[in-house]
Amino acid sequence: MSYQASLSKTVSPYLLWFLLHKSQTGISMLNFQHAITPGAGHDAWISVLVTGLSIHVVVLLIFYILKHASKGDIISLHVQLFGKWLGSLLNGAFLLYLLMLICFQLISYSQVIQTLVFPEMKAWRIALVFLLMFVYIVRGGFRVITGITFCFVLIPSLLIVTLIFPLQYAEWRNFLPFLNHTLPEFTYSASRSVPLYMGVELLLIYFPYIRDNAKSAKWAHIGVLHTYVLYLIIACTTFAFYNQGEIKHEIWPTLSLSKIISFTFLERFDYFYIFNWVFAITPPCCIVLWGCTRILRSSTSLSAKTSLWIVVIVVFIIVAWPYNAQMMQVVEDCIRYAGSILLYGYIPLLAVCVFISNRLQIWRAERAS
Amino acid sequence: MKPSEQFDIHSLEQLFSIVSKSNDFSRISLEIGQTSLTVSFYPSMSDTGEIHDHLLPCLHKIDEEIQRLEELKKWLPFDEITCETVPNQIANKLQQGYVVLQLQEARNEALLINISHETMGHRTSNDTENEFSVIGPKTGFVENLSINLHLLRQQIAIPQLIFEELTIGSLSKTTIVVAYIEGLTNPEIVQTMKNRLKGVDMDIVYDSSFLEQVISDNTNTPFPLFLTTERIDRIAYVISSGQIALFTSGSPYVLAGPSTFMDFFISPEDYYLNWITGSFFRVIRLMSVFFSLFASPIYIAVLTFHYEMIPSRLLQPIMMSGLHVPFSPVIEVVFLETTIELLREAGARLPAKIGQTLGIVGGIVIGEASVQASLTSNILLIIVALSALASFTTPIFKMANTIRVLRFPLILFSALLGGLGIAIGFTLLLAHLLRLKSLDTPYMVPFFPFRKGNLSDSLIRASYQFTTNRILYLNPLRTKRYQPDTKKEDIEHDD
Amino acid sequence: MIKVTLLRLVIILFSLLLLAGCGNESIVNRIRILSAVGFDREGELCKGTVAYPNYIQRKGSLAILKGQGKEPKLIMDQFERESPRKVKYNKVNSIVFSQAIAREGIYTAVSTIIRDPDLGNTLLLAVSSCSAEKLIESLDHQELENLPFNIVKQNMANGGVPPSNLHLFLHDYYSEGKDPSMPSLSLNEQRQIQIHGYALFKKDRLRIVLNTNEMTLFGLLQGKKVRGELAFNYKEHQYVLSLLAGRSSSKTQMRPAAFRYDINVDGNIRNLEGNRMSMDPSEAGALSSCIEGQLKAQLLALLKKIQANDMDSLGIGERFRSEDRNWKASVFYKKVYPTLQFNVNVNVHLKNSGAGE
Repeated sequence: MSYQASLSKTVSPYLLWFLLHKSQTGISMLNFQHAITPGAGHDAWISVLVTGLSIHVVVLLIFYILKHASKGDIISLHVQLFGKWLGSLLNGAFLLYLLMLICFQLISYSQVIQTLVFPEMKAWRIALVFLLMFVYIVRGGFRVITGITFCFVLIPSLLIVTLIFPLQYAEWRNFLPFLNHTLPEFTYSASRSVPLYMGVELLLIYFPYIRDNAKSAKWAHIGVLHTYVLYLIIACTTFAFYNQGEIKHEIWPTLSLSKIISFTFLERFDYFYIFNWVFAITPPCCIVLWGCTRILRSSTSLSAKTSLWIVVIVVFIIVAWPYNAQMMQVVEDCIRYAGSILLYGYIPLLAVCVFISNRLQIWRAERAS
Repeated sequence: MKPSEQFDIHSLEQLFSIVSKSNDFSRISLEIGQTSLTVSFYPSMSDTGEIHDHLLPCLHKIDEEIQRLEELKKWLPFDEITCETVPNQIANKLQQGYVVLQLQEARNEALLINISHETMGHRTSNDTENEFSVIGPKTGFVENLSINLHLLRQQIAIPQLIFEELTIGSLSKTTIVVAYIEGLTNPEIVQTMKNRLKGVDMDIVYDSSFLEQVISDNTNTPFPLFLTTERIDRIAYVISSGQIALFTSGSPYVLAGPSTFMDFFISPEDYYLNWITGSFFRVIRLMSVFFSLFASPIYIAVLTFHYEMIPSRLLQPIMMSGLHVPFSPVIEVVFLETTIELLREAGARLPAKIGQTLGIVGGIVIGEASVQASLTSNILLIIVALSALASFTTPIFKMANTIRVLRFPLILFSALLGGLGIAIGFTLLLAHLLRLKSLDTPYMVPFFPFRKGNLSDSLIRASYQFTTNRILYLNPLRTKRYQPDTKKEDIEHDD
Repeated sequence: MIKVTLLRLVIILFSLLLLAGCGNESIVNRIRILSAVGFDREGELCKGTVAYPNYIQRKGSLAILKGQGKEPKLIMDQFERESPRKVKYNKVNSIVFSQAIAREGIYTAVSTIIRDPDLGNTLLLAVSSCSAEKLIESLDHQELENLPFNIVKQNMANGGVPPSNLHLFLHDYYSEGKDPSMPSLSLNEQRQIQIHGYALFKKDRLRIVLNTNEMTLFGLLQGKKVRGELAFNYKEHQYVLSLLAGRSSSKTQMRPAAFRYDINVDGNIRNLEGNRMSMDPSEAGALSSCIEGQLKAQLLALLKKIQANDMDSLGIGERFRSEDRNWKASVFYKKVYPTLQFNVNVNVHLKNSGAGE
């Protein structure tokens, strides 16, 4: 039986579906089509699907790892496996990774806002508004974060209906000939679609807050399934709406395809999409912020409130920095590499470590008896 | 924190020396055989006719020696007679209109006779004035507690309906009654409520709404956390579904809790109409909440920042109507919204007849004139008037007020950040709602935490066949309300 | 506790006030909203003519602005300098190029447009047979309704104009196996804008302009929405076939490369001399086979015309790409396309020829 936080702080297991799904679907949903097409072209959606399927394995590994953690999360596991000193160092590295995640979401979104809506708005203003909002949500505790996550999975899902408009222009021949690319091309696309699934590792932190968490694996897999089904819907709509040459010229294909939507009472629907992404990025950012606070709290003697404010101030300083396109590329690459290493390198490694330490314990127990 | 100082009475001498300073206090001494008897009462509180017609003649008729107060009881034709020695208790009863009898021999003892004139000064009509409904009972609660309890017991006629009394208020000594159904209401909730009430220290409980603010879980919120109603059917429904009602003496409004956000948008009329019309009206009501909250912020955001969203055909009327308005849309909206609030506030304060006239005259004249003077565009006038109207569809007045107040921060957000501001305002609003709790029960159920069992009676009012569950998140001891499949064998089904 | 909450409130309010100074406002009744733009070339310079609804003096009827500059953006700057109100082009729904510009290539204009997030996706791109300046000038004092966008939109929905907008143009432009096309506009004697044909491009350069009859046939071949009127001869009389609905399917053949169209058309005949079909039902067959023959000839001629001009406006390359795994655009257009064999099958179903006899 794995460790669980006190009952009043936990949330029902089915909410793991929403938590996991929403912590993955953030800002990357806006431009992943642009990023993956240089590889497998019109077949790139297969790479998205395959990467999504591989996340099921990652979830399995995470569940295996956490089952053996004394307090059910990675923070305690690090200390348990590697000792206090090295464990804290690894926790620090994880904290840095989380900071990168939230900063990436905020920087990218402020770029969207600055390019498409308010060209004169400074990044620090956007960052300030968002961070104050996040602080208010995170101060409410994990249950409020989960509530926000739940609502913000449901509300933006209504927008999927509007994809009918671009589908009226769909050119289904864009997907033919099927499987016309080489393996390296597919691999390239797959590597570019890793950022789409980053966020699943947050499970390492909030796992103790899920009620009956040992039995909740079902919901986690449903969450992953939901994620790549959503990505497939969006990717297929985009590839049917745009041809490959055009996608190369669209930085945010999801937003530009929403421009075709118009109603008699509303001529430009793309603003709805842009502002809808406030709802899309809020839950992952809040979960990450909450995770940062958890790490700081358990590694240092800081209170929840001070550690939250410390994290927020650090994030603010990073996000308020004026970025240009070149730096954005560097940031994106950093995030992608870090996420790939974590998901496909570190988590399997951790699983191996847990396995070895388990064997050692059993061996020792046997010897003792 | 230190509790406030109590007005305690330590002895009967002290009591009578205080009360005799008051001119509405009256004291009569009678000689009965050897001893003398004093009768003290407040003519303002007691039924003086009763005293002169029954009590005093009876006392005069006594022809045996009275040693103890107990012996008097059999001479007196009143049903509520008690013997009391605690000075504080005697003082309380005296204030409620009891007549205090004392024998010369036993100065520390008093016989209390209930001749209080309870209904004096109370209104006789008990129509529901503020929560009107076309269908359904029209009687509502009144200021008198015992009438209110009587009205409720008429609706719920089982002995398990419990009324527990408490007294709150160092000056007012108001009686508070906690009503629930034993064996149905979750005892934990009852205990939480009683604990909250025991902690209350106030001087005067003016109204139950005032009490609500003191016992609510979060005082820094514009949202009402307890349902306040004057309708009997509503309270009967609330108690039958496992919530608690809180009666306050002297207040026609009864509190009910734990409440959820949705409770405030439910009208009893939804249940009196069939489920299709009932659901339709409920959906209209919920949509009007959104309209009322977001109409003017969206107007500002679109006209100030995102004019591309306006369809070309709509551009013409918007441009023509706002062409000569010298203000930015924000100022226009704030000006109009404030005007509407002014009219509403003036209408509520003025005597009913003048208020109505002023509302109509003011609304039409001011609206028309401000469009004529190009201070506002008439499209905005339509939007603001509609959103004011929409906010009045909320059945519970307190929630309607909340919605009107919340419009202003949203207007501010949209004026500063356009659509982004509206999205952020909405998120903050949602986060705030998710943080709220009413008697330790989440405010946003059944949406979050999601409860499927109660969804049939939330956004819509499903057919009575599907609303068989009590409010499940309150963990009532009996969950099923009724069995819906009554056999209607006389109905022939065509195959 | 109360103190802390208050502090938080103060922080939020304070930061909001800080934010208040952002200058992104464009209050709708304080700006000039451009609706239609026309571009001409005059030597090195680009000449822009725009129409915008003037609400102050003209109660919403259109007014004209003119400017010159090296780049479309610089022309905007010039408009800005002569206007008391901010000039905004976000709601432009018609962009008209003069034929001179179109023949030289509209790539620069297009690359500016696609990267500008302010513009909508459904706006109309069109070529003007006269100068774009004249075309836009004719809108002076007219209603917003008369913009080229609305004229073309109405005809796309009900007439014989194939669907066309910025999105479709870009889609074709960036496609490997298709060439873009757009409506061509002209002024008639009453100085009223009309659609006079359909302009076919080779990449970004205008090659030929189809006449209205060819435009309807072109729409028929595209197979998306078939509407319009087609003229034909039968027994030395002129008749008009009103297309009600149609379905066109196409098929590729690899070796030797060929392309086949199967076209099914439902239609009515109105201006028959006497209601021939009801008088003599047996004649319906002859009539429709006559139409089929003429239609087939016209369609083949159109296909050959497009092929002869080295264009692929119908996306035949795209069809081959989707079916041939080793398809290469350069090889296809150099070797296969010029000699591609076209086959057209037409089936006409005459529904009726009117209600009277």
